[in-house]
Amino acid sequence: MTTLIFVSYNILSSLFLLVSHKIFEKIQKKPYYAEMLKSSLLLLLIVISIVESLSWLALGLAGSRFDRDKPGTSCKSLKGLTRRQMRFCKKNIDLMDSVRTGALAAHAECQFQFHKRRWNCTLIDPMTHEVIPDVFLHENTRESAFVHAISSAAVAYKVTRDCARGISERCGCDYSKNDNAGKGQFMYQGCSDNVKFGIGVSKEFVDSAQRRVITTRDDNGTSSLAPSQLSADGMHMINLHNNQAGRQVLEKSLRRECKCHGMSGSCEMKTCWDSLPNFRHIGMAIKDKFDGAAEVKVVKDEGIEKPRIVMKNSQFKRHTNADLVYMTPSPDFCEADPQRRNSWNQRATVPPSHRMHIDDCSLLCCGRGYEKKVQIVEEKCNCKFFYCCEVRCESCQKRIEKYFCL
Amino acid sequence: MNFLIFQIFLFVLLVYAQHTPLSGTQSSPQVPYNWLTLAFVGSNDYLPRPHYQSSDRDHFKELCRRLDGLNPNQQAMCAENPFSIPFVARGVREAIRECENKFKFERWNCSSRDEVTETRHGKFQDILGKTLRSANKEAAFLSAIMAASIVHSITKGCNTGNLTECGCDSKPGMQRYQADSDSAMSRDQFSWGGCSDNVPYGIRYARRFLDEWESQQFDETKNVAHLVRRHNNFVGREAIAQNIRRQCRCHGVSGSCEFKTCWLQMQKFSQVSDLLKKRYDHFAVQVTRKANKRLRRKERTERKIPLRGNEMAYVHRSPSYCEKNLTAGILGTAGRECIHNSYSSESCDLLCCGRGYNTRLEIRQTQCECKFVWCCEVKCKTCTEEVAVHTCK
Repeated sequence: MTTLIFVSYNILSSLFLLVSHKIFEKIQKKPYYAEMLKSSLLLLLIVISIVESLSWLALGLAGSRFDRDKPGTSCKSLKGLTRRQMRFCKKNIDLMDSVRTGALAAHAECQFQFHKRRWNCTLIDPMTHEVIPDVFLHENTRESAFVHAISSAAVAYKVTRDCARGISERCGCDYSKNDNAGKGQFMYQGCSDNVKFGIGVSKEFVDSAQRRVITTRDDNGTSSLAPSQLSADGMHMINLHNNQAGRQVLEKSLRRECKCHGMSGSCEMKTCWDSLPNFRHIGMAIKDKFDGAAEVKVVKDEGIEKPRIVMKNSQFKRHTNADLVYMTPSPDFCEADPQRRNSWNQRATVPPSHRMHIDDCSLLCCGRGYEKKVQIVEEKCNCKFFYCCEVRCESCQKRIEKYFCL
Repeated sequence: MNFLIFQIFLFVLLVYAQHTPLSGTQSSPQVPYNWLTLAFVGSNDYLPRPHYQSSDRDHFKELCRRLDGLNPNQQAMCAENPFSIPFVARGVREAIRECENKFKFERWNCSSRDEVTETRHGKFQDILGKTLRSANKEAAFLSAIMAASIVHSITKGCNTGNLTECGCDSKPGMQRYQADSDSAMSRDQFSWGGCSDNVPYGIRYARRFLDEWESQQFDETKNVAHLVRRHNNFVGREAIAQNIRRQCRCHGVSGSCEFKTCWLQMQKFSQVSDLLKKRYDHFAVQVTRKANKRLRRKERTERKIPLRGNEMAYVHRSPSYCEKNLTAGILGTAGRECIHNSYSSESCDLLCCGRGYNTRLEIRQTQCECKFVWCCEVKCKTCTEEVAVHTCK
């Protein structure tokens, strides 16, 4: 994918060359430039459409509530939706609130999980409220895998939660487990979280951010573009895999909760239901998958339409459906790279003596060194209650040390 | 038989002496002083000969000269007391083993990329040299544990009678020691007996072997690193000296404690290294880059407090040891095995520095369902289990 971007960056330079060097020496090379221009314009299209695969996350910051009576106007005001997602919005306006809180939760959880690392999950530009077109996020890196998984899990999670709360009319509790009644000691009668519905919605909405790539490719597919087609296809497959992995993690984290109500609280009679844990748990689980993510490549076998995802190094354990996969190794996030519009800033939180932490200064600052800034903050202290009814405090000065990378 | 070997050896020596020019017999200047190379020295060469003669002195002198990496003071000590060298070597090996053990699950795992130089006496491997000369916390630990290992193994050598220079401690009452718990209650009479560990000799030896050179170098160059190393050697020696225990045995009528004989004993070396690891973790003090006579703490408010014997000193902050850096001798953590679902330093997140890990399935065979079969056999089945091994990217 890096080459893709590189090529698209090259368009400008190649154009410039074409115009300025209309001299005869360059004539023999001209067909090469023309070819390059043609293909790179095409690639640019693909790149632009791929950038959209996460831009729906900006939904989280969409301010107003959705007006259920006017799905058309409410949906059109939203930024970053693909055509298919727009269609989904119009049809399912009642679910869009849950989707939006899902986007918000995904962003917040990502920032929590990464706040101590070099890349601190800055996804949304606070000024424009749009998803930052951070190139590395769209290159099938590990970080991109995490964002895809957490966002699809978050949408499924929030939809499920809202179903159980009765906010949406179309879904309710999952009573399918109640068939177990009588077989075991316990009886399912409670309101189990309706994960299946949530996962279905997530599949429909989140995955449809991906589909566009294929249509772009279908419109312009030429034989000379086979490798890039494969890579666009591959990116698409990998994003879908990671979306699915996020939902799998969610499904596996369902826990059974029970309440006993026999005589004096004995467990003769029991009501049980499946419930989802706190979203932090799911964030942790996906972060764990992020650490053990597998590097893969996409291969296309002769005669078979669908490409396959295979491990890059076959010595290692094959990834399961719930494991994250990536194709491109991440940058080390140390140097600001002008070619990539990156968005990381580095502030360490742990004083330098705590050596083994992930946010320890020498690691976070890539060995460049750091500076200590001392802030003096006024705080209320020695508060006392006076009769009646007042609390008087003194103000104390507190020294706070912060460490910033150079 | 011994005599024959001696003859052969002399012959080899003769041939060797003919092939090496006289001026080249001094230690070669390219090789840095690193006495840890003694780890490769076997003990056979330095055994005392059956009939020790004055001509043997030259023979040992030559042997000592071959030990590249020893500084002139250490060379002199070697020539003077060659039989002690195998004990120092054994100490070094033990210390390296302990160090690797204690740092198994940390980013710096007591290893480095060692440069190998070709010298006239064979290959010289600069064991842990870059770390040892770097004046950071890891260097502090190394200095301390190496000093402790010399004290320990020389003292053991005295105790077992393998060193002719020293024996058991004849005045154990002069040493600092802790009485063991049960005899602390009864402040009764006892007599020293048995063989007390001669720690004072070991300490004197280690001080001469390590500190004299550092003191001379500091006087010449005023480089604080020498002072730091001298202090950390002291910390290592103290770790042994502070933990000598009095062991006693009662031999009154039917085992009563009317008559008691006591002797002094050092702690096991693994306990000493535990203690030093704790000092490394919690009691390491950063000192200033310049010093006139003694080390000063870097923290301005604590400048007046002198460094104690349980505080390791270091000058420079350590690197993260995450990425491979061959010029600094750092191997990096890529490929290291880490433990999933752990919250300490061996966890995959911390050990791999956030780069993530690969998982490999390994089939391990273990013995299981062992049963005792009369008489007298234990029969086991072999079970195969798949273990997921995580290694850092």
